[in-house]
Amino acid sequence: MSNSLLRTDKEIAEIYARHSKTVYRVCFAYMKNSADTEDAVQETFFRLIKSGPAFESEEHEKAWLIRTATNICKNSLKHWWRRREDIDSFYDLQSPDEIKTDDVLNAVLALPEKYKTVVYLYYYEGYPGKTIADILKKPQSTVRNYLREARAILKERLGENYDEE
Amino acid sequence: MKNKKIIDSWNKIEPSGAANGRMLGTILENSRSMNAGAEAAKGTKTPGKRNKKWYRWGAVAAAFVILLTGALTLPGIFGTSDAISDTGSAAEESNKTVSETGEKGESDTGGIIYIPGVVLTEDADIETTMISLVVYKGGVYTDAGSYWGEEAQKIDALLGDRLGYATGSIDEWSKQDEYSKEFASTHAGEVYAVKGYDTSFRVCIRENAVLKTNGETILRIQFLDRLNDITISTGKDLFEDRLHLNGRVDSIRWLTHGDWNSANNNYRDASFDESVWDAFLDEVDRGKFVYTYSPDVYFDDNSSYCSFYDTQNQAHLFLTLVDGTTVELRLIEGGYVGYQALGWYFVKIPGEAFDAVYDACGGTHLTDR
Repeated sequence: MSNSLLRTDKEIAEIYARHSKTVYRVCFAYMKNSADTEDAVQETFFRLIKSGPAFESEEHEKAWLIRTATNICKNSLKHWWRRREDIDSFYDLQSPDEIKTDDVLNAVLALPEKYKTVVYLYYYEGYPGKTIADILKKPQSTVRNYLREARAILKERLGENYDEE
Repeated sequence: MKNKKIIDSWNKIEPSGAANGRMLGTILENSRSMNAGAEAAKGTKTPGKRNKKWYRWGAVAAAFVILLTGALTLPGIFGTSDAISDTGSAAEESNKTVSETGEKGESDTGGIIYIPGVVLTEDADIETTMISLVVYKGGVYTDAGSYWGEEAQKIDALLGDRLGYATGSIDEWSKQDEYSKEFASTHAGEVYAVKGYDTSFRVCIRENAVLKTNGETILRIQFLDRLNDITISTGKDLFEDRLHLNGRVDSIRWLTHGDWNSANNNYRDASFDESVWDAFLDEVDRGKFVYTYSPDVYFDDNSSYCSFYDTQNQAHLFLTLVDGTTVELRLIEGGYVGYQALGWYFVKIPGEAFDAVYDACGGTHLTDR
């Protein structure tokens, strides 16, 4: 693991290969379209390049990227220049790379922001609550509450599509 | 057991090969720029960071990408904490605001605030900021919302004199002197006056945008307001003298902050007496402007951040005026009323008049903000 602040192309490409899907999924949960998601993913790795922290492990590296991606997306969504266009009233942006979502995913994407990363880490990454709390630097009780509240929302929205198997 | 359907759904989210190639290519290019900058001798200009952002207008994509190298900063209007702290903008110098706690600060300028003009810097470290603008009679007019399709058809009737043609000439390579060229803009279209609004404040760009999906064209009318290189004092200077709100608000809708933040269009109609609104607007017109910019504070491990705008205690109002136009207001707990297009400048009004509207429009008073 490199301790240098200046990473080589090879090192960056390796980190990207390890975590790009995770970062992409976290970003998509907030940005909801491929174009903005790509921007957010790039910004996350720009921060990595700029800040150049030395990671203790790949898990540490992943946790840092997830936290950074989350903060970037939240910050992007609230910035003054970001307009909330009512795109449902006319044709949506469709690019060849646009992700096709289903009802289940749409329900997850519609969750309030504070739940999204927790839900992703719990369901998709399979992390237990304590690990999620460590990654996001939040109290375990907060993570438990977020999960409970998110599950309630998903259950209401998905109905029979939502079952804890 | 975890919900398999959620897991399966999320599996669908992954970048295509082309997207991966694009992202990695841009990331590596940035890395090389950073490395070159770190190793270069002082005085050697580092290449600008290219931070391409796709601005999602909803129906038109590629034609409206605004890509700026170096940085376009609107001190006191838009901008990142890095931009302000690294460059020491004129706005920061003339509007000292940040309190010691790093929370919202208010300027003490005797009630008169000068909003500086648009300045382009060449500092490669500054994050690029995306802005849509046009230059008219030496002033820079910035985005104040767009109307599309049927909505635009209605607004079309408001178009006044044709003023010229926006060239769409401003891009990532533009230098400061580009901003002095009449009708230089970030995207092209016919520039018109808007009836009922002085052209020293508002112009619009009208165009037939081509939809990427099917090649169909859709009318788009974008309002652009001049909200920089101006001096304001009370809310009247903006909300009455420029936006003409008094007696012209036909209806009010609102979004909770959560919905606004998540782009969920769960608009609700405001339901309070006209007298409540009149009292509110009276106070807004009388209220003094304060400059509320505070930098985002990132902790060392990027674990969290806070700024004036992080609070959950906000309300978002959408005023439909009798002429069919929409004015978006942002209310932040504590009496702060802002015009969305203006940014960091809010008027502060007394609690009673403020809370009557704020509480009725989804505003919260959470202690865990």
